[in-house]
Amino acid sequence: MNAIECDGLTRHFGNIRAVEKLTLQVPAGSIFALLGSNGAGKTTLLKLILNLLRPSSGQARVLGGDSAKLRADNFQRIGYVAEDVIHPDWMNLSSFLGYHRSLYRSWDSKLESQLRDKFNLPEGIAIKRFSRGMRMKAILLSTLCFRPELLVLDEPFSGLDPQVRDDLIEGILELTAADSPCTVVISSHDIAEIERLADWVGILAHGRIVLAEALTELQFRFRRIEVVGPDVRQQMPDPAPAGWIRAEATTPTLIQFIHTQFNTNTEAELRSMFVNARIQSSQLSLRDIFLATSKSSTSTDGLLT
Amino acid sequence: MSSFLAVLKKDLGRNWLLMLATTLIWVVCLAMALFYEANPEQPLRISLLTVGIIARVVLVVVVAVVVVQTDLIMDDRAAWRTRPIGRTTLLLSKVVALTLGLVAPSILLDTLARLLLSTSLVEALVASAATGMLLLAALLFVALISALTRSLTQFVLLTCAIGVILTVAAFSTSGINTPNMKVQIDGVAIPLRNVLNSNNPDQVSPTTTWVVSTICILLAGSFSLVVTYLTGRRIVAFAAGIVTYTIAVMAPGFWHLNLSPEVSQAPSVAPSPSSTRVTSAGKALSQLSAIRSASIVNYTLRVDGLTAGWTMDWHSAAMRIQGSNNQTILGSAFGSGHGLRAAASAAARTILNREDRTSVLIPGALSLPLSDLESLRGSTARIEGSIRVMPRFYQVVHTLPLSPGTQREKSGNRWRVVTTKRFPIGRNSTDMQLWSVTVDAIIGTNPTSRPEEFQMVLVNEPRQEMALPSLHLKSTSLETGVLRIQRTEVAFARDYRVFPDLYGGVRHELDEEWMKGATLIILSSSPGPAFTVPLRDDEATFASLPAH
Amino acid sequence: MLPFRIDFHSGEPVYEQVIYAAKKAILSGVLSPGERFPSVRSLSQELKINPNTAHKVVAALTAEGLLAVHPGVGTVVAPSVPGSAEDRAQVLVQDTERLVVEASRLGLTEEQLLNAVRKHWRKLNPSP
Repeated sequence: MNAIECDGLTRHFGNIRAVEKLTLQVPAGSIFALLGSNGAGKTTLLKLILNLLRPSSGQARVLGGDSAKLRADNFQRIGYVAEDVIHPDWMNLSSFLGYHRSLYRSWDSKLESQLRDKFNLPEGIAIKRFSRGMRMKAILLSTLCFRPELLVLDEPFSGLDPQVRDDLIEGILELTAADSPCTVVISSHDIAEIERLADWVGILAHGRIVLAEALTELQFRFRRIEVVGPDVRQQMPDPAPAGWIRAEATTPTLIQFIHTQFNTNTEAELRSMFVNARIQSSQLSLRDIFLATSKSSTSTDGLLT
Repeated sequence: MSSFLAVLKKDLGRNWLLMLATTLIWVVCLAMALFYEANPEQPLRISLLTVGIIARVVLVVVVAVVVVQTDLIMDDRAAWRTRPIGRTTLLLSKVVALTLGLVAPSILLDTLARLLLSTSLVEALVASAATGMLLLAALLFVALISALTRSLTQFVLLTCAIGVILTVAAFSTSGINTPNMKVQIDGVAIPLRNVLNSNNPDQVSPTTTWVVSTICILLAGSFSLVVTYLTGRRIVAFAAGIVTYTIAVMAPGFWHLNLSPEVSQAPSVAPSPSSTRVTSAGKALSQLSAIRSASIVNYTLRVDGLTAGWTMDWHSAAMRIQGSNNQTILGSAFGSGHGLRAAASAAARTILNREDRTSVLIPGALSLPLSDLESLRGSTARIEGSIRVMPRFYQVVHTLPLSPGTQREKSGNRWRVVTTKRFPIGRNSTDMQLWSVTVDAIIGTNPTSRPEEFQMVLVNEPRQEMALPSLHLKSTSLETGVLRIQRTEVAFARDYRVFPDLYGGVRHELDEEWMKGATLIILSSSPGPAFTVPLRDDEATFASLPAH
Repeated sequence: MLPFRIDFHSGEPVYEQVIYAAKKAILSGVLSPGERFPSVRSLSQELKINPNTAHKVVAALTAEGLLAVHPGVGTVVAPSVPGSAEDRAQVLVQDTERLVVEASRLGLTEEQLLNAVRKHWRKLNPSP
């Protein structure tokens, strides 16, 4: 069961191909990190998914329905938080929440008071006079309290201090820890801030998906390999086998590379390839995986498998 | 439903202070107007009232723009796009917010003011609802422009752009515009050319065409807004707006409706199409001006078959002109109005006991294609066509002695002479002496009972002579919705004869002696049913067309 | 508050880091047998980690016999920590490796390193 399915989704702005023939599945109940550098097409993709933009071609399905046919009632189940959304921010917190409370059938007043305690926001002043972090908290509050089935967050943490970020993450985790967990899609250009949060990862570059899979599988198949032994440099295959990236023999006795197709047989294969050598493999952090995929643009095609 | 109420509550919550301020300004304006009505001796301070009315218009526009632009339509950053708020719901809540916050208080206050003027409740409600409809039509247009833009600045820019385009379009499409003619704006409808419809010689009532116009404009505004909100596409919205508003402005021209009550005081039956004959009066045609490809040629009609008290206006005409070389030109003509002459006719009959006239000359402007006209220069041509004429009934409303402070009142309309003074005209102060008369008027503006226009003439009964206004020196008027308050200063000159066929050209000085025996006559005019008569086998010489 | 702390560092999967910290707390006795282990929800909330990751941590520790599920009570530390001394030593494999690397860099012999370790051991456990 997928919360979002994109099939050949394309959006052009004039000559700019913001999103190009993109196919992607976001499993229901996952926290899906959509990673990509600035301008990779993350915001356009999210806006297509939410029917804020019309696709040039292709289709996105959201919670089982065509995204281009999303109606007011569908947004009873979908929440969207982004920096550039224009909110009625002349209101103070109480009227802001009151306004949204009257819009949603599934508003959870208990969660509202719980999060209001946690977020500790000022009551008397207009939201537009809030600091950036407080503003983001207020907006997230208005979105979490109706317990959306799908929560789409576009760069929610950029430019926020770690304390605010932790508060926001706790708020989001309130939803995902519920009995009927919600699907969360978070876009970011900074992996560190969502590494602990995500269990699914999609990497976007130039409007195309480089990879999209469960974080555990990703971290299993991406390994940093060190081969240490006499004359290993001479035993290094040329060209490097498929799946190896950034392979280099720094010294005659050391070969380092990142194996992108690591599996249970890999170590044995390597041992037979390099005689008398010690093979060390270690897992990579999401950040290293992201850097590896984005820097080795030549081998990104190999990563798609 | 709950999202409708939520959005409505939000918008009223944000703007209630501005809405209240708008209402309070209107209270002050109405109070001032009622004060003038109740205290005739007070000097009119129209400029003060003007400030109030302008302030109200500005506030109304600002409120409407803010209400609409709080939830942007043409912007994917608007929060409502990802909230459970439907497009129809949003539009509905905006229109209801504007109606509740601006239109309803206005109707309520207007009704109250009319009741204070001792109008009956039903009449007051009908009249106030009519002005409320005008306001709503204007608000829907403002809402449409607001929906197409993102900020107040953009709104102002787009509105200015539309204004410029409309003005240019009005000038370039109108055949009768000369530099000294102004584009007239009537209600919310800009009257473009009235299209002759000879197949439909039925009834037209200009008094109430604005009702039809306003309904059309309301429908256009509603339709465009629905399209704008439902599609959210700027190009589609623009196209819908242009098309529907164009249709709405043009449609009433084809719409022959008689909504106003028949002229009740008419002592005689209106002229009938069968007994009316139209011929050409001036045989030599001369060019007045040329605009783009059209040439404006003066052309005077003589209408026979008038009944007592009635006179005739030239409404519109379609003509075929056949030159001696068998060349055919199609031309059209539009009425230039001749209320003054008609008023003179009515005054002459009532005050001076002259005979009723059965014929009248109507000068008009014939619009012909410039290129074809050259070939007609100096030759005689045959003219055929059909003319749409509009009978008018004039009656004397008041007779006022010409001393400052004198005033008369009748059916909610009050007139007062403010000053009379002699002043010189021309380069030397000895050239010519005219008399100026300043008159204040407060006219009830119930659209169902207000006469279309008023005219002033001076009559010297002992001498059996009449003086007509020769110069409109100053005219300020203000509609508050309930009352029209106006101050008019007119310069009078004695006509060559009491009853000329054609007014204009010959003026005579008025002396002290003449003015001593003079009284000011106020006349009102009401239209009768318009009809079309044929013009056949007429001849005209295009004699004095000036070369370019 | 959780009975153990994690200073997350980039370079190692989050799951591994949480497993390591929890094992260390259990095996070193910070969490004694029978004591309640934090729920998936509070693990996720306190550590700001994905609830699925927290769930996997608890499941893995339970599968290894370090935790036991008591219906109605929740997850508790298993009464007797099973497994050999080797299993427990496995927990310290990283720290040991780091120690050995640092000692070699300083030019210490194996004997000198063991002496230093023994000295610290006795300081913490005076009576053998």
